[in-house]
Amino acid sequence: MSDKRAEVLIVEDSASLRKIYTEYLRTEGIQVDVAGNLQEAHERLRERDYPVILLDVKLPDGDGFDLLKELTEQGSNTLVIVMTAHGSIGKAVDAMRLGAYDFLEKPFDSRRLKTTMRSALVQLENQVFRRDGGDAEKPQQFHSFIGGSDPMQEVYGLIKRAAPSKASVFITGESGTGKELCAEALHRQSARSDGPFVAINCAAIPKDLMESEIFGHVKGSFTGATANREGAATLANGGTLFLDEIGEMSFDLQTKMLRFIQTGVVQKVGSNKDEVVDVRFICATNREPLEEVRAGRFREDLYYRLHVIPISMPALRERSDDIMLIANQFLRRFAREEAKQYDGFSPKAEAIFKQYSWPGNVRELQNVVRNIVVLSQGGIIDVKQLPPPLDSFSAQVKESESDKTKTTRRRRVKGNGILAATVADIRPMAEVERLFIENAISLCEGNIPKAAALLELSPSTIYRKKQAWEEA
Amino acid sequence: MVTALGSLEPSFAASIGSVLNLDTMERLLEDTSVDFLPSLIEVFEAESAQRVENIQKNLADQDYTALSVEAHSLKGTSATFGAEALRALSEKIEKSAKAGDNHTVERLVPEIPDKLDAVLAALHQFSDKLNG
Repeated sequence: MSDKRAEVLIVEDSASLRKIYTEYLRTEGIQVDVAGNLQEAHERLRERDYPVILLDVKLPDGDGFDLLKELTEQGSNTLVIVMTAHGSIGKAVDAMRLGAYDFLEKPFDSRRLKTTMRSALVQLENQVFRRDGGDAEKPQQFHSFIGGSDPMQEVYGLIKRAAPSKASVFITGESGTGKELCAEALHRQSARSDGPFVAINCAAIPKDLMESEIFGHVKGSFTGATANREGAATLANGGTLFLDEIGEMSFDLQTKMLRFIQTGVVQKVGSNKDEVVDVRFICATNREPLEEVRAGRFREDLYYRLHVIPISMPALRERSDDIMLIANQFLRRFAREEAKQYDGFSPKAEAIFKQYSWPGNVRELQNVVRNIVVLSQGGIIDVKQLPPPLDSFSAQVKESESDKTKTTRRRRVKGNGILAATVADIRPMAEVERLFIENAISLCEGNIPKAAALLELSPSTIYRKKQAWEEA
Repeated sequence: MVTALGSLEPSFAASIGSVLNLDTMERLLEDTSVDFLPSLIEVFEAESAQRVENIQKNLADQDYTALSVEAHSLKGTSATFGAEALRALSEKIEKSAKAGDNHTVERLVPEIPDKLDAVLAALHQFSDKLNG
C-alpha cells in the first residue's frame, strides 16, 4: 500500500459520524475516503479497491448488506466491518454470516474502532501469503484431523472459510469428537497463527478461580494472590482465546465475558485499569447451547455474541468410513511407541469396529487401540483381543449377523405399524408427525439439533412444534 | 481532556448535563480534541437541519419508510453526542413509522425541532466554554 492512498472507505450517511470516524482514524495515521450512500460507495469502488470498508447497514438509498453481498460474491479481498445500531445483535450475526470481517455496535468509541481496524490491517498483511495450499479435492487429513468422510470434509471446509475472519466460532459436539483440535486448526489456519493460542477449560477450573484465570489478577486482590498474574485474555492478545466447556461458566462470569467481547477491554481482578486486547474467540461445549439458554443457564446475549459461526463436530459413528483409517493410524503410532509389530485388524475385528457406536468417539477409539497394543504381542488383531465393551458387543454382532436379513425385515414391518392396515386405522397426519419426531428425538437421546439434521428439518421447526404440543 | 470537563462550574455542568450525557461528551473529546468540536458541531447542525426538513417532507408525502430511515440516522447521531432525549424521541418515531402507527409519528415529529435546538444550544455553550 502506498502511504498516501486511503486504506479505508467509510460508507455512512451521517455527515457528523463520517467526520468523527475520519478523525478517529486520522489520529491513527489511517487515510480515509468517504461515501454518504450506496451510490457513492459504488462510484468509489469503480475507481479502485479498498483494503477495508467501514459499512453502515441503513443507508438512504438501500441496504448496506447488499454491498456486502456483492463483495462476497465477487470474492473480493476487501475486509468489511459492519456498523449496526445499538441492540441489533441479530443484524451483526447476519453480517458475519454474509462474510463481514467484524462488526461494531453504534455508538462506539475510538478505541474500539482502532482495535478492530488494526487487526483488520494485520489480517490483510498476512492474507497475501495464505491462500489455500492447493489441497487435494478430498483430503484424508487436515491439521490434526484424520478422516476423509463427507461430514469431515464439511468441517474442513468450514474451518477454511471461518479461519480468516475474526468472527467468533462456537463448536459443538460430543466428548471426544475433537473440539479442541478444531479450535487449534482454526487458529493455525488464520492470520493470527503467529500469535498465541490460549485454551481454557472452564470445567477444569474451580469456579471461584475462573475469573482470575481468564482476566488475571493483581497482587493482594484475594488471599493467595501473592503476585500480579496475567490472565488468559491478555496472554491471548493478538491470537486466539479458546474457551472449552463454556457451558460450565458461572452466570456472573458470563456477564463479564459479554462485556469483554463487546468492548475488547479487560480488567484484572482487583484492578480498575482497562487493558485493550485483540483476541478471536472460539468456544466449545458438549451440551446443546440453545437448551442451556432456554433453561436459563446461559446468557442469551452471550450466546448470540459467540454463536456467529457454528461448527458441529460429527460423532464417530456418523463417519464410520473414517473409523478404520483412524484406528490404523493409532495402531501405527502406538506400535511404534511400544516397539511392537502389527499387521492390522482382522476383517471380523474391523466389522465390530465399524458397527460399534463409539459413545466416547475418537478418544474412546484411541484408548481401545492403545489397550490392544499394550496387552497383545503383535500380528493381526482379532476379535478375542478386543477389550470391553467391544468384546461383549462382538457376541451381539455375531448373533444378529446370522439373521441380519430377518432383522431388517422385522424392523421394517414394525416401522410399518404406522402405515394403516385398514381404513379404521388411518390416523391424522399431525399425530403421525409427532410420533416420528418424538421417536427421532428419543433415539438421539434428546439431542434436538441432531434429530433435526436426521429428519432434515431445522431445529427451530422442532422447537416450535414441541412448544405447540406442550401448549395443546 | 478530563480536565476540560473538570473545570466546568457545577451549575453549568448540570444545565448542559440535562441535555447531553457528559460522560459521552468527555469520551468524544478524549477521542478527538477540543479544537475538533466547533467544526463537528457545524457539520451536525447542517446535517440535522437537513434531516428535520426531510422528515417533515416525508411526513407530508406520507412516506413512512423513508421517514423511519431518517429517524434512524438521527437516533444514531444523537446517541454519539449522548443527547438522550433526542435519541429516545428519534427511536420512538423510527419504531412508530416502521409499525405504521401514523398517529404517533404525526404527534411526535413536531417535537423534534425544540429537542434539537436544545441539543445545539448545549453543544455551542459547551464548545464556547472549552474553547474560551
